[in-house]
Amino acid sequence: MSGAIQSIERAAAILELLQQSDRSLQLREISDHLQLSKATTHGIVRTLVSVGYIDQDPDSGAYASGLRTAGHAPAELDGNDLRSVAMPWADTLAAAAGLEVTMALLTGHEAELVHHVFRPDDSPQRLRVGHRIPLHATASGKLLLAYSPLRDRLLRNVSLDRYTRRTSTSRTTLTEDVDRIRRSGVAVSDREFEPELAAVAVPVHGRGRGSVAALAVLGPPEAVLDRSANPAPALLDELRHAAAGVIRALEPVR
Amino acid sequence: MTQRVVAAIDLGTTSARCMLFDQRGRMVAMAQREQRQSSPRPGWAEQDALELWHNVRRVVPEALRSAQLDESNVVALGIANQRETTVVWDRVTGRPVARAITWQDTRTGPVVDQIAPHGDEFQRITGLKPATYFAAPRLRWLLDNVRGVEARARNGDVLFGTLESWLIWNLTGGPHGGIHVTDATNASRTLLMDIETMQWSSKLLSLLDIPETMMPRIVSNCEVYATCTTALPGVPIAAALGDQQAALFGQTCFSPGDAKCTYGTGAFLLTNVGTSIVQSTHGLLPTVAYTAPGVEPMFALEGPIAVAGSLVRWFRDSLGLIATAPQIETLARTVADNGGCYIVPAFSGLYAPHWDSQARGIFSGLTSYITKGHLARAVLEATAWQTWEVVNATRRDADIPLLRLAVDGGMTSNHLLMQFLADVLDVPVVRPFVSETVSLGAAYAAGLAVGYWPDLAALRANRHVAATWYPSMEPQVRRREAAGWLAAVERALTRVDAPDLVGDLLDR
Repeated sequence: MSGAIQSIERAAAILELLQQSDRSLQLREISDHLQLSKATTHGIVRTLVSVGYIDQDPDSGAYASGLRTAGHAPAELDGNDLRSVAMPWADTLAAAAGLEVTMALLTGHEAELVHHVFRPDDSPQRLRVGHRIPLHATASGKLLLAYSPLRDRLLRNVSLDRYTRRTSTSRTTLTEDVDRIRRSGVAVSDREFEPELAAVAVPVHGRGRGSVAALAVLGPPEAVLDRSANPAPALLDELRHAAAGVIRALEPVR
Repeated sequence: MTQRVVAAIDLGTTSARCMLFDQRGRMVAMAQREQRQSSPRPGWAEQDALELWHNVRRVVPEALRSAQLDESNVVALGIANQRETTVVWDRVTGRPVARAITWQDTRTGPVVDQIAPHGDEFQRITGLKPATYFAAPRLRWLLDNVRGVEARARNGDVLFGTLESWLIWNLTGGPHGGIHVTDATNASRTLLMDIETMQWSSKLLSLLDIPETMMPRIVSNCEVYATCTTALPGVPIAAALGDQQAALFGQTCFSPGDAKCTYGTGAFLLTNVGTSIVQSTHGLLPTVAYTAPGVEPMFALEGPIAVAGSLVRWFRDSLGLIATAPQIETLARTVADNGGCYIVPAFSGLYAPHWDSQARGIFSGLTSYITKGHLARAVLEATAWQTWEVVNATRRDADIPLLRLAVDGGMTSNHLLMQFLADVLDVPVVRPFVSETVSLGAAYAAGLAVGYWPDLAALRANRHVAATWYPSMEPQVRRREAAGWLAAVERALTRVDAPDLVGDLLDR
């Protein structure tokens, strides 16, 4: 065809390849398959990521079809599916830890709680399902920010309100936090949103689609964190075990 | 120290499960096998009782293995089962004479019609009006329709039981010394047990011409019946309860007025009414809640709702409006209210409190304004309003106020439904931590019988609240919506004498 624009043809070939693949692909696999140089492939892929046609998995760096290509069936995790699947795991986690448990999804510039299990001490508590919490001042929010394909834009735009004396309102600190969370796979907050509460959050992946939920335990700092304000090791193990359980249980739903 | 656990076996409609619980009432292991159901003709529902038994023999060692335990760690076994399912088997070979007829089967209409003239007698003695729902008409049907069984029953060669009887007989040796018992909760659903004496009524046995030699001995829910010779050799079988009574026990509803509703395919609301039987004049079933040696029996009023979760499944599979059951909530949240639309899911008539087997489902209030979001709301609201009707009937029968409703089952993960339920009932709705309340209840009763737990207070101390939904609906909205629902129900019913129930129910 005369006048065909080569880069658009190549972009179409990449989209087709990713849509036909049953897993996400590394840059090298894409470039090998299309017999293009890695540099050329990288340029096209980055452009497609930036316009939302493909997603990059923050852990593996691999690429998959993005939300824009899924048409009317968004590949996002449905919060209600998630709650239904996660309920036994979240219950077990809260019972074992003696702490409250939440699950959250990113929505716009905030995180929305899609599940909440009470602290198992029968004290009066309010169910917070549906509540919105800020991204920069909560463990779940920071985790969702770190794993969002839109994190660069969010890091620039999210408003940094102060909720407690300990809320950090520095964009630089938040950016560093996000980098650390992406390396360690765990987010922490310490009395930054509610004055008494600390929290630890880990990701629950929706199968290589870039869509991630945050599973968190919340409680007094001495129950959640160790002396150097890192997650208490035993608690982090329980949290990761529960997250792995939810991820496994999500498979048949997808 | 060796770990000591209580085992529970739950013979449900779709699966056989084994769970292990520790002293704090936490589940340590679970194994399950799906069970086949067959429907050889419309209205028939059967299961292979031998398959059920084989599944039990598989899931028990699987559960033990996954917790790295063996039978020496198990202090007692409790059993819970789908109720009203009927098995007749050969005492010598141990083989069922026919496939088990399950609780959903409606083939016994003609038997029920035959005994209908004695309906008052049945209700006076058992608390129940004859219906295809109960076990005895199924037993009569098997005696009539399986060649040679009636004569062999009279010789004492074949035995009748509901599923816990069949399971206990097999666990204790089957043809080689198996004991033949049934517990009072299951027996109370046969249509043959005198609910006052907790013994078989010879009058009702003779009305249905059922030989007493084939009937199991009625035992309490909480005592050591015998010791397993297989599956869990050496472990005492110390409890058996019908599944809904087990859930009531697992929810620790030990005091009059305590109520629980289990939301599965259908929904079952049971309210503890204390140590005296409460007969129902508003469409509920008086039933045994729990008996133990040396204590007064506890009774319950039960309101079974035929269609709850199955309406969501129909919405998904038959209408195709959602991809997964939980997404009904996602769809419902696309709109703010039901838009005036109500769905009465009388797919196979309506159960409690209407008991109209000819009623058929309807959508009401359809206008061009209605979207699938409104329909999704109406689907969820139907489950809440049906619960509300049972709660109202309970209040009128028993004069006990409902202070809160304990809930369990798969639909408790539906946040919108649970909030709406609290809104229409105008009481808090409470979800406990262990959602497997059926198995937990069987384990609790068994552990109590062998002293693993000292008393009911110890069980209550194990119970913690995972979520509470508080009512937040304006009274005038509740009143308007109740009127909309009741008007829709009236259209679904075949009887024409439905009075103006709204004022009646709401002007307490």
